[in-house]
Amino acid sequence: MKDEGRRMKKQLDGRNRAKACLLCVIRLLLSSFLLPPSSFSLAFGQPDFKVVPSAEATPEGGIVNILMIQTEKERFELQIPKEYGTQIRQSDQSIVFTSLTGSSVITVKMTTNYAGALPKMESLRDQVAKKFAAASLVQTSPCVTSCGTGLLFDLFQPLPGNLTMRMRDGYVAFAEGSFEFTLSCDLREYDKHRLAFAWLLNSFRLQAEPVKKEP
Amino acid sequence: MKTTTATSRACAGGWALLIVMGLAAAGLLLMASVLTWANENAAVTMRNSELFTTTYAAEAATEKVLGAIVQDDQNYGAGWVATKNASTAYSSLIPTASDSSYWTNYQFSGGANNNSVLVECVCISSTNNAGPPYSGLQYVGASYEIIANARNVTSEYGITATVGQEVILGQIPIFQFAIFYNDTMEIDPGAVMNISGTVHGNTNIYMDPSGTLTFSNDVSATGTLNLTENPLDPSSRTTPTPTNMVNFNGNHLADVNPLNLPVGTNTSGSTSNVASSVYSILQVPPAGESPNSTIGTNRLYNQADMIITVSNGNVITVTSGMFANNAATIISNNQWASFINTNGSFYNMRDGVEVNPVDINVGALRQWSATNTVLRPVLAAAPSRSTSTADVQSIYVADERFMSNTVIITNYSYTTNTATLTTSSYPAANSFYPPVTTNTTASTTSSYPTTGTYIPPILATNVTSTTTTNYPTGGSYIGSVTTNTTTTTTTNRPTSGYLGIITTNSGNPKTYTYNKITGYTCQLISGYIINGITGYTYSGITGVTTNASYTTNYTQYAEPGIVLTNGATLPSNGLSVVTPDPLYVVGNWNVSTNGSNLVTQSYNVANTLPSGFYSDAFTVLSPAWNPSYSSNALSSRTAANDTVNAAVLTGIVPSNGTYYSGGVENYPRLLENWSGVNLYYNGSMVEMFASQISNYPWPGTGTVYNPANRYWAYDTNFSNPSKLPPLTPRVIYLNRARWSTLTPGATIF
Repeated sequence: MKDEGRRMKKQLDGRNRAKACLLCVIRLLLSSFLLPPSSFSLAFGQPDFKVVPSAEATPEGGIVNILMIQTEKERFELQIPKEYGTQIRQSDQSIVFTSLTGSSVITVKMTTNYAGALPKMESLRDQVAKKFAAASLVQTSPCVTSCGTGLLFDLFQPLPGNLTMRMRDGYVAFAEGSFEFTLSCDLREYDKHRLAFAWLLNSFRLQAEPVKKEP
Repeated sequence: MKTTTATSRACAGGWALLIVMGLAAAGLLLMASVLTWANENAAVTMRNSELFTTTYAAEAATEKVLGAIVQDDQNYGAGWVATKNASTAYSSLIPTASDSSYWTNYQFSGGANNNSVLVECVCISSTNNAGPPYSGLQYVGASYEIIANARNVTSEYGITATVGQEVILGQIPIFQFAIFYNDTMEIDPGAVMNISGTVHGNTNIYMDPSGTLTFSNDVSATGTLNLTENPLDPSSRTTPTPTNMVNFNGNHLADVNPLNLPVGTNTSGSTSNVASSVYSILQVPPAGESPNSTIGTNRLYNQADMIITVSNGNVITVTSGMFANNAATIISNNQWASFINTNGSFYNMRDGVEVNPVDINVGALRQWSATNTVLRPVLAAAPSRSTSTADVQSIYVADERFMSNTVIITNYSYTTNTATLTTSSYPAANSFYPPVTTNTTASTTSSYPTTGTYIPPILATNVTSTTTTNYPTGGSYIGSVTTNTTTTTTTNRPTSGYLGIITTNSGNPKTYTYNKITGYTCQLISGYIINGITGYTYSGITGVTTNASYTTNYTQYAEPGIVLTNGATLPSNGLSVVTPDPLYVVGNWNVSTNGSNLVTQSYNVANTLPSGFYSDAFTVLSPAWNPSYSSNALSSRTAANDTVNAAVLTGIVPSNGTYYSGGVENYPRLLENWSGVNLYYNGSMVEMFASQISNYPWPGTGTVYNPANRYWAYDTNFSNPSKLPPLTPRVIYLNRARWSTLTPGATIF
């Protein structure tokens, strides 16, 4: 009888595993259609990317608007910059913050690249230089967040109409991949938007409590 | 018959004439008397009228001088007034035709001297107690008497009138206020807050606390006092402030006169005490500016005992102060190396920038100051100093490195050559650009595929229905195993190899009937269908080419900062630190006078020395501060109990509709998690301008810092003029003492 029970359990486990695998395949297939080629991850299984808006009471600071980013194993949160609108793009696992004037865009994008640790600065710098081929990469500095320190690259890109776009491209690794933070704005308004970007980075943190997966 | 004589009739007519003539003469006499009386009365009225107008003219002459003195005092201070008065610049300020043609009717004089006014400093310095709304404060100042004569030169009377006025050019040491804001003051603490000492705002004051806010002393505002939040504060607060949340235990008055520093006017000369002028007292004077100029006399650079400048290339220059000997004494490297360090760095999370600070070890400075033979003789010989006050009392520190590092010409770019490659194994790190495409093909294997040889999941498992004599091993089949049996009767009772129950048959010998196991049927796994990995295709890096292809002007920005450490005990006469840069104080400050009896976590200021900070911004870092953790999450930046005893004059970042200034409750900026940690501060908080360098808004709590338990109090030592921090600025508090008409030609009251 015991053997029979064990066999039954094995059978059910096998079915559940098969069902989970099937769901995973379906999800991957859907994702592969939606994701642009550049966002394909190294690992085949892209972690979850659920973004939930929330609010948080701070001591003497009132209520602040935050976003919670739920991945497969971790939960991150960050504060929404003041005077910025938010757009969550599930398709490419990114969040786009656009200033009310439209002159500045901050993008937070999660990928499975560089899981665990960023590559060497020189290597990542070359990759950034290639990614922003039309821009001048002028400086590398630490990308400070409350979730750890990564690498930050400053870029300038001339635009038609005698304009210059100022960009900051930052990378921070976590166990399942990395987050890329990009600020793009008019050079003349950089000082104003630099702060919003810095505070967003400051507020980016890993929640202390481990996330319990739903049964 | 009636008869009359002619003579009798003639006599009667003469009497009548005489009477008429007499009456006429009397009438004329009366008329003459009335006219004479009337004429004299008009003359007296005219003389009175002339006296009044001439008195007013004399007053106008004193007012013209008074106006000039007040303006100079407001703009440049009493010292400048004394200098001008010594050169008789004020005494010649009489009303002239250029003011109005009316004044050509008058001759002005002071004493016996025509075309001048008497202006005399009758008391160089007197100490006076101020009344509400500055109860308990003392103002000190010089008294001036102004006496002017005036005479109407077009009048037949030529009356001379004399008016005298006395004015006290008072000054209140600004650190006698517990809180002084030149800009809009906001006080919106979340916790209960008690403010001891006098509070003044030069514009409006807004109060919208969440805990009870109590003012123990007078509160005044040049603008309005508002029990509501600042309209430029974007926070959602309970407004208007609930009743009983704000308690005034002293007077509270709005619409009082502004209290200005004597720092000149704006460029048009129409507004005094503008923020840029106030901020200039912290700045290094431009080349060629005399320390004795109107602006130069107000610069703290010209008043400090020692000057430290750090210029581009990390060149450190330390000299004596301007006031001592025009900064002529150079203090060498081996002298200052023990207390100045410029090699550190930390991250200011509020401003989101790296700070390359100038670290001043105050304990080491104290030791050097007490024993050195370079600066002490210079200070002992300086004005108002002696050998007993030869210790350094004030230092000026300016980090000018960031100013000359503003533009970097960048002449490089990166072109990375790549080629599409396919390899059987995963490419090594840094040898490719992501992403890597994993190539697969559907294949069948007889054994379970090993990790990394396929992309999960397994697509299908092939099975074959098989009957075996032995029970199949685990993992070799899918599903259930069917046990095959046949009914068998034997004389021996089986001990194994059967299924179910054994039936015992009667007879001799006994027989046994049972279901003998003949074999097992199952779905034996014959293979797996998988997406087998056949290789990886990617953009392999084949080389890097560096080209000089463009030039970019780029502002490399590392914020300057002055960090004061080891300041529990100050030099023997106290210490003030002036800098145009942001200032950071690490750990306990000024808690002992002898280095051994440390009084911390207390409002007791008996064991403190006069100390003040003058800076662009002011940040308190606790004894637990570690620069290495400055960029870590707030949870790893936990503060420890701290005590700071010093007055502060610094800047804030005002509310602007998008960001809240942080209010008085965040006047000292914090960069650590102070939750549940005590910050004792005994001093005076003076806000005079918007921060120019550390000018990023209040960031809210939770990320950059969490608020401390605020144990803040006014340092009552500052009510004693001899215990004020070195270089204490003073605000103008003008007082008209006397006004009087005097005997014509008088030279004194």
